[in-house]
Amino acid sequence: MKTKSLNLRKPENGPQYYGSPRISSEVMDCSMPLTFDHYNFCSMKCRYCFAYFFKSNNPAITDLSLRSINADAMIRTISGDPVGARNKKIWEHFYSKKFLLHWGGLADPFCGFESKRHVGLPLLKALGENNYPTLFSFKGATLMEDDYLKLFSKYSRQKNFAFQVSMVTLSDEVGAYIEVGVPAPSYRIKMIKTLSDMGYWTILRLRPFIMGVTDETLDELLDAALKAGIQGVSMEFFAVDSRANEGMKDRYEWLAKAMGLGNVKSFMKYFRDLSPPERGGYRRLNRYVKEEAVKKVFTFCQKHKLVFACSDPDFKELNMSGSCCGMPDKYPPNRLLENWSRDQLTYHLKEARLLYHRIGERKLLTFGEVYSTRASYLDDIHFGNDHVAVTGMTEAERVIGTYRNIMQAHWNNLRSPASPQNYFHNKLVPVDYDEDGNIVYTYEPMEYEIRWAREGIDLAKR
Amino acid sequence: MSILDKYKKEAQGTADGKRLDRAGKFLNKTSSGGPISKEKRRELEATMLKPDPIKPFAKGADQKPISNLTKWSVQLVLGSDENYELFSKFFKVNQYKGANVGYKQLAVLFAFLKAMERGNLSFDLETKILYYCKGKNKIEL
Repeated sequence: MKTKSLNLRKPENGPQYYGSPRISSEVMDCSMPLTFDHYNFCSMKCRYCFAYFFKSNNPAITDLSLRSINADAMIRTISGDPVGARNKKIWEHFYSKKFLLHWGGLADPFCGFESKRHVGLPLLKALGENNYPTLFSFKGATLMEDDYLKLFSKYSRQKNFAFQVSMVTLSDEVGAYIEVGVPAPSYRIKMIKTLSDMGYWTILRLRPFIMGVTDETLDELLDAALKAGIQGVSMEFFAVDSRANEGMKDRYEWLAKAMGLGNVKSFMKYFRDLSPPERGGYRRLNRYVKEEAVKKVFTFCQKHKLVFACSDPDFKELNMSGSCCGMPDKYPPNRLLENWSRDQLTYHLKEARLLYHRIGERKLLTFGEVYSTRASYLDDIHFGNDHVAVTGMTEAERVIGTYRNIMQAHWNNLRSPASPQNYFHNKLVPVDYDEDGNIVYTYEPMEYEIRWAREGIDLAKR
Repeated sequence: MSILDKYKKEAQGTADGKRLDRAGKFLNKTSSGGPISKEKRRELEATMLKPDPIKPFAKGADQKPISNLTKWSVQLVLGSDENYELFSKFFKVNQYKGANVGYKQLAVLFAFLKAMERGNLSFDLETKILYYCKGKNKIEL
């Protein structure tokens, strides 16, 4: 198979605009399910890019032309004048409640495309004017261009924006090897400092944490980010899609070398052998491989009073807030930045960890408690087709399916890679059924928790 | 020739190539975390850090108590697995919640339970009378 490449022509066929925002398929444990990109692709070529893995394996993506969203329609919608059925629904469930918008789910808000096209600039202005809470996940340097800096400087007093900058190493050399087309790590530290100095909430996004790469400069990277003013660290480990096409194998070859695994064959074997098979074909290493690095970052955050966040299914219980992106539970400078979802398992796992380490009680988790009716979008048929699971559903199921239906099916199917027991790999274990017939899970204390507690690490702290 | 080698060859002599050479030296150096190389470390991980199996669903598991004392329901922090095992011989445990917190002094309770286990004490559930037992003799307490 030939590696897909992009062109910057106007789309000849299909819809004119890219459809975004959408509801994340990771909604079971995601605090910011409203995820947004303003281009359908990203100009960077990070060799670990999970968006590339998903998109290059998606048979529905046949047109590789670059498309952007309809910024005018989105600006009108955010301002209370929604355009079209989709925007009306997003207004109803999210914008009208000023629900935190996550910009940068499958692409970079400030990549080279934005530098050329500036589609995002008026939208940024509208978000600022509406005091709309927004978290940017990015690496791109367009943010440092004058127009953007002026804009962020202007809204820095109201602090409705937060930023997380992705880094896998502090070494500029290694960065150039792995993150082609991305500003050097040292420049990203400078961007963090610029935004921190403006007074914004900034997070070091330690994702993906690549064994053999990120651990090499971890201490220096944490220190540099701390000096640059971060208030949180969010980590998640690199995982491998077993459906490796030719383009992915090219990238895996680079990563195999960087990780100390030699070649693609050894690379695939390493991930196959060390990933719990119950999690399915997206191979995430088991928690034993990750423990040393997690402990280092967690204790660093405790020491420096930073928010530790773990987006990885392993050690997710250690999150210090209910948001695994590292957003704060409380943010007095602008309470709107607290407006992310608690109806998800990251929040409940964190609460279960605290309960256990404070009074020794193992929290019971029911489906109805975790996914309460507060999360109104879960019950709207309109959003059902946003979920990746629809690819395995019949037409009849898709017509009436909601996110809640899909999540309930995963919750109660102990063979599903997305069931809480399999996904968190024994951190939640099934113990009973509730009155609605849904499985009840309970928090399972693990050996590492007792060991860490004996070493003096306080796991009863928020 | 691998893709990586091909790229490196193309990049030779260019700024990219020099940067890659420096990166290669960095990537091949001994791990800063200890005396072993990252290759060796990956090998050791692959050998030593296999994932655990998934635990079976506990619903319907045998929770029958050994004794016939089934009427009382209490919440106790037992402190250790040994204490839990002893306690569960005499009392039905509906849910064992594990332990990772300090516990109150339960020495008296466990001295009592140990005496029951040895047979020095027995309790008649119908008459609700506790007996001290010595040989075949039972003395009402």
